[in-house]
Amino acid sequence: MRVSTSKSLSATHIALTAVLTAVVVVFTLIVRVPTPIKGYISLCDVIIAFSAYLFGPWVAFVAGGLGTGLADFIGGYPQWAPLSFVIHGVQGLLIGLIARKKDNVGMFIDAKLIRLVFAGVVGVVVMSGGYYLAGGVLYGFKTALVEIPLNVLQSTVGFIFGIIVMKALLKAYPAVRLLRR
Amino acid sequence: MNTNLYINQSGVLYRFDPRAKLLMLVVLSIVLFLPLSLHVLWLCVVISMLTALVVGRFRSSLRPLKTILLLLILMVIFAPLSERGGTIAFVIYRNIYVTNEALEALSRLASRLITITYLFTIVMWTTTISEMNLAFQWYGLSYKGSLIMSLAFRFVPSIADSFTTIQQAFELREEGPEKRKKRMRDVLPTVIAALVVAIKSIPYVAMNLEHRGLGRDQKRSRYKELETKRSLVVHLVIALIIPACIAFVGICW
Repeated sequence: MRVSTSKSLSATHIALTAVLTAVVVVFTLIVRVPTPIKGYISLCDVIIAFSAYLFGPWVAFVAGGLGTGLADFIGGYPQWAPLSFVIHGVQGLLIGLIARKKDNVGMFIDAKLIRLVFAGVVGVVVMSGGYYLAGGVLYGFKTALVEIPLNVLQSTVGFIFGIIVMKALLKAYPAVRLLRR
Repeated sequence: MNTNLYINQSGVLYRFDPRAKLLMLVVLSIVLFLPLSLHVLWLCVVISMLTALVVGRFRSSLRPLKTILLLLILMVIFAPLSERGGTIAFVIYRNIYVTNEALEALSRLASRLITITYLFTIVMWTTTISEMNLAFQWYGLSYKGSLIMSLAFRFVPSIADSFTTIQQAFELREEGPEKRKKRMRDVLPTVIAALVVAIKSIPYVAMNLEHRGLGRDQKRSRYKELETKRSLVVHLVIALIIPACIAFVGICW
């Protein structure tokens, strides 16, 4: 029986993506922070941004897209699942593509804060713009305008805390660097 | 934490092949965006709600409507703004009026939203997650993609449990937690601790996957496959004929 090294690497990759997907589901459904206007924001964007910053675009695409899609299925909003998959998937993918930086040898290095913030802002535009378009098609563009402020707030909080969580996690558990590819 | 919306019953919808259900869901969702007559759109609403009533009984059948109630109210509030031109149906206050065209647009959007919500919910009520996963695989989802999906479902309850335990441990240290309003900075330590716990489990999961044969030529585990019987073709044809009939009647009426 032959064991290939590249495929044994992908076992870690699969485990990483699956666990982060489950974390996104939990953070979408359970962890909610009250807002001043008596609403709630979920912390799924924190994990999507965190995954993109630390583990790259493809892990963030799958974890963000699949995680929010599954959360919609479980949470009783299945009609939103395909849209969430695309919107949050693309959000994670773009954040990861912009924020990740390689050195001369091809190893990932920590990007500068300004780069992380720019990637986060792109994520905010994708998320709120995506939900505006999807909402506009489903229930009218005028009605969909109402959701923009809350979506902007949620994704802005998401990427800011994504950066904070990433920095804190690198200090609390430095071995996480070993999982980066 | 419940990770399933499946309602355990028997009936035609339960016997219908999950692959055909997914196909019908996608095609019907597309058909609803065609320029169908309002009568047909509302007929779809009635049929989907009646189906939900049969599958989920009265109490459960109203749940999907509850999830979109706020949106429906907002749609009604914004109706005067949506179509300003056309014949005035009624005046609310001085310059604020609702036209017949706005009412029609509102009716179209509301019926479409309600039908789509019910269609997705009915599919979730009548299909198990494993059937759904296998159906996705039949449509081309890779082995690794399915594995990620099933592993994620496996980990959701345990990560939710560890998050709740960590949260309770942090709350025990706080002074009068019931009086304090939960803020972002209070959530952050819990989030980081829960993430560390989740990430620490990754090497063990990877090791288990390798033990089960991932990365080897001869795998020690494999997914079961949905049976491909002659009835599948019949189900797939039905899944296409029903939306086609709705489209035909809706456009011609």
